[in-house]
Amino acid sequence: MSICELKNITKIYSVGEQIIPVKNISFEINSGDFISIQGDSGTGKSTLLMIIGGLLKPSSGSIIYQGKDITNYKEDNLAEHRGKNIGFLFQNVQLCEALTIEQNIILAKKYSGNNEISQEDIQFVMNELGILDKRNFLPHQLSGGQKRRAMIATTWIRNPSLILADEPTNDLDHHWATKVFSLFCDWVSKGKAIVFVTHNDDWSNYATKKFHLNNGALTKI
Amino acid sequence: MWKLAFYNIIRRKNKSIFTIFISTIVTALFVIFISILSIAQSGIKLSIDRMGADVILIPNDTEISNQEILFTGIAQMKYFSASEIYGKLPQNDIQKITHQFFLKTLPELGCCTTGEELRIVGIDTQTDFILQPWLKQNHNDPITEDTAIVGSNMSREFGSKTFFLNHLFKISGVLYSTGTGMDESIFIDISKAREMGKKSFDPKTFLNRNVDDLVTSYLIKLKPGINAENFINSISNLTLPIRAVSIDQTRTQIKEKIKHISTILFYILGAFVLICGVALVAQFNGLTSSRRREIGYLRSIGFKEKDVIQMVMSEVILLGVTGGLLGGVIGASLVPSFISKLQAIVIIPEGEWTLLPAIIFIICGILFSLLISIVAALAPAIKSARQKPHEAITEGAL
Repeated sequence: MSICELKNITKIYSVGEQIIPVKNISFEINSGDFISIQGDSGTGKSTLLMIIGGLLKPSSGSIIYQGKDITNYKEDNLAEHRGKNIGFLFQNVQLCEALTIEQNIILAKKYSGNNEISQEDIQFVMNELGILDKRNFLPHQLSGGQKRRAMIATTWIRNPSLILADEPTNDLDHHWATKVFSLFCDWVSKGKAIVFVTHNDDWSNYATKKFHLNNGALTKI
Repeated sequence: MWKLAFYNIIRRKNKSIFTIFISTIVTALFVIFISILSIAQSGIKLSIDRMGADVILIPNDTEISNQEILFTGIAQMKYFSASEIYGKLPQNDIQKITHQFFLKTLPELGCCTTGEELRIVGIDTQTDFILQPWLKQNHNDPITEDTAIVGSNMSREFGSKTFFLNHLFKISGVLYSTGTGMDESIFIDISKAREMGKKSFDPKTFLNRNVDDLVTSYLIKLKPGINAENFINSISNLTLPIRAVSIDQTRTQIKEKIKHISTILFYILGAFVLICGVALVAQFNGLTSSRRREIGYLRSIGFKEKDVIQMVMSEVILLGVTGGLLGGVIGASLVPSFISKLQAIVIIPEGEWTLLPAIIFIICGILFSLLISIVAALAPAIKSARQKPHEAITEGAL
């Protein structure tokens, strides 16, 4: 089942000269897809993830999400779409700094369109990611790896159909990186789709579809 | 959203405290400003509502101004001879007339319970029409030889006893606030006042005149249709040793003065509001720009533009209300001290300053603080809500 389809997506930045990090890309993300995108730094991998997730509008082309063309959605509709369907794992971890880890998880859940917050689910997610004992900590009180796991927890609890992860193993030691990828595999087996960006071949080997982005063009490996 | 705003405030203590501090200062100034104006206006209104006399006649060697006569309790011992003046007044224009005899206490001689110099006013209980409207209900025992009525600012309880010029008086009445010098005066029977004057002061004080014939003022209520200015002119033409003071004109002069003071205070307040407003804009700008990535993250999990504005404005409202409440309470508690400091420079008719107007002005202060906080935060809030989510999350590094 198609989750998201990109049709002839191009993104042009005009900063004195024209930069085209994404050039006429078309590809489809289906339920159960585990997709890796590799490429050199600055080739537009993050830009592509943001376009897929509706954080950035393409200069041309269209995005069809679960049968709906969201290309020209207004910002508020896009926000609602992101809240309900997309889970972002950014390259640099970001959470709401004034809230504890548990409160961050609850906040993320609230904006997913599902207000039913189960304390058991929250505890389970935090326990699985080894941050249950940090539930009342503020983000700045955690290590980089703990913060990243907290961010993964906020995504997990929202149960999005598409997860876009930009270098998801940054800050994680091998144990937790492996754990996170095994979680990803589990999510994919339950029908979600994951697109992740990595420079590491070990992690890209988990992917069922591998792409390489170079000069704005996406090629299947 | 309120919870999130609350956590944002308490977990960024230093920034929040500074923002609250700015709101507190500007609100305190605002509350002091409006309170002083209101007290002065209510003082004038009180005196208009209940002052029974149109004209006051005083000795022309009185050293204080007309405004001081009407609105302060400055003790003056100046007299003119009633028998010399009364018969020459244009009686046909006068509806009511009463006379008063002033003394002052001698605190340096240990004459009195109180340590400050006070004005004692002897009144003629038969003809007085000035005091009656100001007597508080149930506190209206008639003035006798040993009883006194006190003004509202005299801090004496009904029924208590107190010494004035070595004579023990029982307080038989307390006046409502008048907004005039009556608030700082002690009223006793005129015969008693003259008797005490004779006992306590050197006859030279009265220029060796017959004290029983002396008065400090005539208070006159004119007949309907009689113009006070014309009446005063006719008195002046008689070349008597008296000065005629129009109460209405004096009030107008005071009003003018208050208008000038208000303008000055308004400019000072305006300058402070401007400075604090700019400081608040800078604070709120800092508040939103330091959270750029955080706002980008919130947008990524589904926050809409209005949610971001709501989050920032909730925080601003909490900060504004806290600053407003603190500023309001501080401002209201400083009002009496400001009034007395200001009164040392300029005459301000003092209306009532009780808990109710204080609470009303504190609420006004909160609303004022809220208003300037919202105005100062609106642009930064909209700007942060409208920034593109991808730029916010990457801080423009894409």
